[in-house]
Amino acid sequence: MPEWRDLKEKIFLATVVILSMAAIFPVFHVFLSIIWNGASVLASDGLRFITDVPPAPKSGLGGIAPSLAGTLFLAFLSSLIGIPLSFFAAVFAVEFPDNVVARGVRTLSKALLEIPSVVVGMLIYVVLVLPIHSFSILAGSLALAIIMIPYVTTYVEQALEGVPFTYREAGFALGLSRPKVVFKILAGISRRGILTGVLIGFAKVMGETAPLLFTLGRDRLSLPLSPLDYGDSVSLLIFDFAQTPYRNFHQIAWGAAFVLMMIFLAIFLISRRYTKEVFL
Amino acid sequence: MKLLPKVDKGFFLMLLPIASLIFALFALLAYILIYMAWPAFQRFGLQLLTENVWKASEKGMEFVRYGLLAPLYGTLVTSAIAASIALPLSISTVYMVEEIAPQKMRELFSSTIDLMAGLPTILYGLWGLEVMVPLIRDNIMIPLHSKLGFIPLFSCDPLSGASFLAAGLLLAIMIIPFMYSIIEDTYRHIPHTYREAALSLGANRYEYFRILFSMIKPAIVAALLLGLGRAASETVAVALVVGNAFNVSPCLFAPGYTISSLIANQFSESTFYPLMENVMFAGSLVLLALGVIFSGIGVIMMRRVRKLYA
Repeated sequence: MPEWRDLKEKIFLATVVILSMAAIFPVFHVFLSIIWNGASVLASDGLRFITDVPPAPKSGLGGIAPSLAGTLFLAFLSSLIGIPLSFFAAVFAVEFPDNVVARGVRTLSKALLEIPSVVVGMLIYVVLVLPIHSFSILAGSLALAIIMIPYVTTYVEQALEGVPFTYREAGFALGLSRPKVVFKILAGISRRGILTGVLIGFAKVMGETAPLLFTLGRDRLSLPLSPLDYGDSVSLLIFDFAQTPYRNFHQIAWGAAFVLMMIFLAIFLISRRYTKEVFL
Repeated sequence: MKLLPKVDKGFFLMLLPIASLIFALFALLAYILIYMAWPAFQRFGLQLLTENVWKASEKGMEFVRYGLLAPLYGTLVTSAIAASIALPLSISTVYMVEEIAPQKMRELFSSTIDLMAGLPTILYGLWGLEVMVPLIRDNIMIPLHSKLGFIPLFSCDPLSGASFLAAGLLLAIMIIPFMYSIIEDTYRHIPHTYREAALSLGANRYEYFRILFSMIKPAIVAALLLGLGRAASETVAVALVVGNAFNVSPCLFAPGYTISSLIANQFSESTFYPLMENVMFAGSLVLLALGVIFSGIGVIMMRRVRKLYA
């Protein structure tokens, strides 16, 4: 029977190679499609693509300036809300692990990953958009901040826990208080891990669409100037324009996808420089 | 709580309100979901989940009738397709990365998988709609329908190509990195002695694979369940390729709905119709319940396997 056994091994190896190639092939196809379709739009439209507003249906190319500004605005505002919250929650869970709240923070911040992001959008719609009768950048940012929490807390927790105990002891031996040990010593040593978490949270909210569907208001003709203005995001623009029957809107969607992918790749490469392992 | 020095107590009290916000968030979410979903369950009862009707009316409560069977069915079918495609691919990729690929290729694989995990879902959605759907319609759906149309799975005419199958395939691509990371993490933690034991018995690669992967079966089940949960909650990418029609059909080429794509498409307009908004919240509650069940069992499975090898 040795031949059958060898044959089985060969078939197995061939299957593994083929299936694993099949697993990663599609993402290259996605990349190339976006570059192929998006770059030609950007090439024919030039700088206008990021400085102009979208055109009327069937009337050539325009730009995505308000949506791009919205995406950046959202990313910064949601980081401003989400990152400190996640950071301090993680510090709490690491520093005072033996109480109900800390255990809850650990479990719940991971459980947030299981909540469909569209449901987060519905929540913010009910608690913020309906009461003030207006969509806003702020509402979108709050929804995104919630999306961000599990990623950032997980990374910060891991980073802080990864610091060897001797550093903590050394800090206490110098007579430092616990807050000083945490913020001056532990956070300093684990800054790479913390930064990775922050970047990943940032990358995540840059690309999110579902939490923005019912919170942002889709104003793609004027720049958002205050957090209470209606806004738009690149992702939302792609979602809407891809569903229209107009060819020029589809082209703009591809161009916008190209821009979004470049932003994502930039953040991804920066975060790669800090740690080898990136988990999303 | 152990006795803390005074300064620690201050630190504790300073951080406590921030940490408690996460609790408050969950309480708020639970309250809003149940509060908003309640009228729908009160009016339609369990029929909300067993009927496929969608009669919206602006006139009043008596004229409307909703049943979420079609989106519920679509959610289950598309996630099942996705998980069953993604599982063998993820297992193969783990084995490829851990045992076969040389160093350089290993890095290529793991970076690519990280990229796949983080890529904005809307990009998958756009690609799915504009590239994948026409591709699989012409190369998979139409040939299967014309040759094997007598099988119920392939019996309907693939119109635009947006369908259960398209959504399932796209979701499969999207959940591969997620399933991969669960399986890989466990696989790496199998102690060396077991690997050496298998090799010293003269196992060839296939036998080695079978021995080692049978040891982490709970992790594979967990990956399957957590992957199902992930697939069920995906929204925008699915909304673009699933076809958005209330359909309960065994045919994979028929357009359908999933709970999350229904919400994505109709929630904005739902405030104009009585009860529709509440039905959406009921849907999201069902979605959340599905997620809790899947990931609950998944997490229990992971605990079991961690105990074995940790």
